[in-house]
Amino acid sequence: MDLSLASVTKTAQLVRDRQVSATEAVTSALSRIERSDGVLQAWETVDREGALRQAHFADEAAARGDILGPLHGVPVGIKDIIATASVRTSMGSPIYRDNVPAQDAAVVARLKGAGAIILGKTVTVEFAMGDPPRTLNPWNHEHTPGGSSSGSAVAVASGHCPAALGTQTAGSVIRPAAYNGVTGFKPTYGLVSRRGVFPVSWTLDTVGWMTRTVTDSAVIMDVLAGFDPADPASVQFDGAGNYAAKLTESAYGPGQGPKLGIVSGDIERATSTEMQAHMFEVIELLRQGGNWVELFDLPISYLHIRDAKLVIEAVEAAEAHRNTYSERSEEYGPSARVKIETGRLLPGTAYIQGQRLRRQFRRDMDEGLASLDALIMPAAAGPAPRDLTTTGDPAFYSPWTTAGLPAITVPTGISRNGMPLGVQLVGKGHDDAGLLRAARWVEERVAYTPKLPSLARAG
Amino acid sequence: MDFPGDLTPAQRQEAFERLHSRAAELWGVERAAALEQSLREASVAIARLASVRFSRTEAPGFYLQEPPPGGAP
Repeated sequence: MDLSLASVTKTAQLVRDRQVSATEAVTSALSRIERSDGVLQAWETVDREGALRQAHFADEAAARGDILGPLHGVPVGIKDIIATASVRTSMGSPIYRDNVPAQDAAVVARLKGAGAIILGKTVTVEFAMGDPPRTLNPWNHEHTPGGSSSGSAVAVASGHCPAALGTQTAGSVIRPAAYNGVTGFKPTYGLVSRRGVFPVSWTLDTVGWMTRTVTDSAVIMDVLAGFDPADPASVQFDGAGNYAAKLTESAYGPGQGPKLGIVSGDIERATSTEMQAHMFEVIELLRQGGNWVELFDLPISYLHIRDAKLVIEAVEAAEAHRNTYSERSEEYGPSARVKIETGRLLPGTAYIQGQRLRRQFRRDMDEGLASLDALIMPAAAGPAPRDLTTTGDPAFYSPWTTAGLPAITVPTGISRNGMPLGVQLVGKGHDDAGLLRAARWVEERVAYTPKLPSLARAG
Repeated sequence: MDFPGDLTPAQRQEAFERLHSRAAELWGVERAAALEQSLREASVAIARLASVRFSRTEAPGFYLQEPPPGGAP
């Protein structure tokens, strides 16, 4: 059975129904990785033995009638800045090339607890903030795969696995997902623990993931969301949970869809003509499906939110790396060096002003979004740029990430030059269920079926 | 919160020179030159944020743990 395009939900169902064993699911994933990853370079470490051992354990449990959880037997990838017990976690840096954590990050422990099989570690941009990685975009090797969760996006797009974890400080999940034609989801800041994730910025970093469908994003959210006292940003939120079940709740009127706000201003101006035309087609399709779309007025605090993000991220990154950088600066790449050295120069007052503005922007956005289900906008200025010296423009993501808002990208088509296009939806804080429901509605209306890129098939 | 207009070219240059001189002091003249583009962007960000007039009640966000107005959805 060809599992290269099987979703998380489908793979889990096949394993649960004993049509495919966990060992077969993992063996099949490993052979797809072997076939194309020599060229694509999505994986930093493939834990072949460990994955087969986990699969064997899952099959033994299934034989006893014991299903470990909703991800029983599903192979997944983990970005290489997220700690995995006994599996090398390099942060994409030579400094940590031999680092083998003793413990799993909270999200990895939760995945394992739900029955997922950890295939290995996907390539990250150095410390999730440095120069472009060696990973190639499977749609066209001359175009950037995006970053910093480059390997996770390429692994899912190339059919290596149905899901992979990433992290986002600006656009590091949504952007590579969009550039590679997969679904990328970043939950509300604070709902998913970052314990065991190497920090870029403590007050901005969020764990997110790439999948093939919105439903899969919700299934993984059910597994990963939850309070963790070891993460100071973690919130105890009564409304968390049952994200997959809430997808099918009838939240909209008969024959109607979600109420969506369109963002104009600088985002619209930065969007390519081709992407604007594509957005217009998508919006028309949604309108015909009973969707309510209106222009959304961005609050005045939006004016300086990218300034706030720049200062907060640089200062926190400089502090996170203070000790290592003072001893081993020569082992850092050029982009990481620039960020750390700049961060060390910025005054404390600017940092606090950034945090004040950030809180106000979040409040303004929650208020502005109160009567809407989500915002809708292009997932990027256009398809992945034909430029391997960049991972793309973070402008389409950084305001929402800085505000801690949930965001998701859904693939919606292919550009004239054969690269994926997608839309991004941004929801209210803590209303991840509402955002996922709206995204699923958009996914169904657009009815775009992602295909496997030819370069992933050929290797 | 009150937002005055954007910075003038002179204000941008002044902000850059201040940060550049701090960079030369901490990292040396050669590294300060390598940081120029980043220093230009950061100095504008700092100056813009400093121009915002916050009220005393507008506290920093840090971990953004407040529920939205009207309670969590």
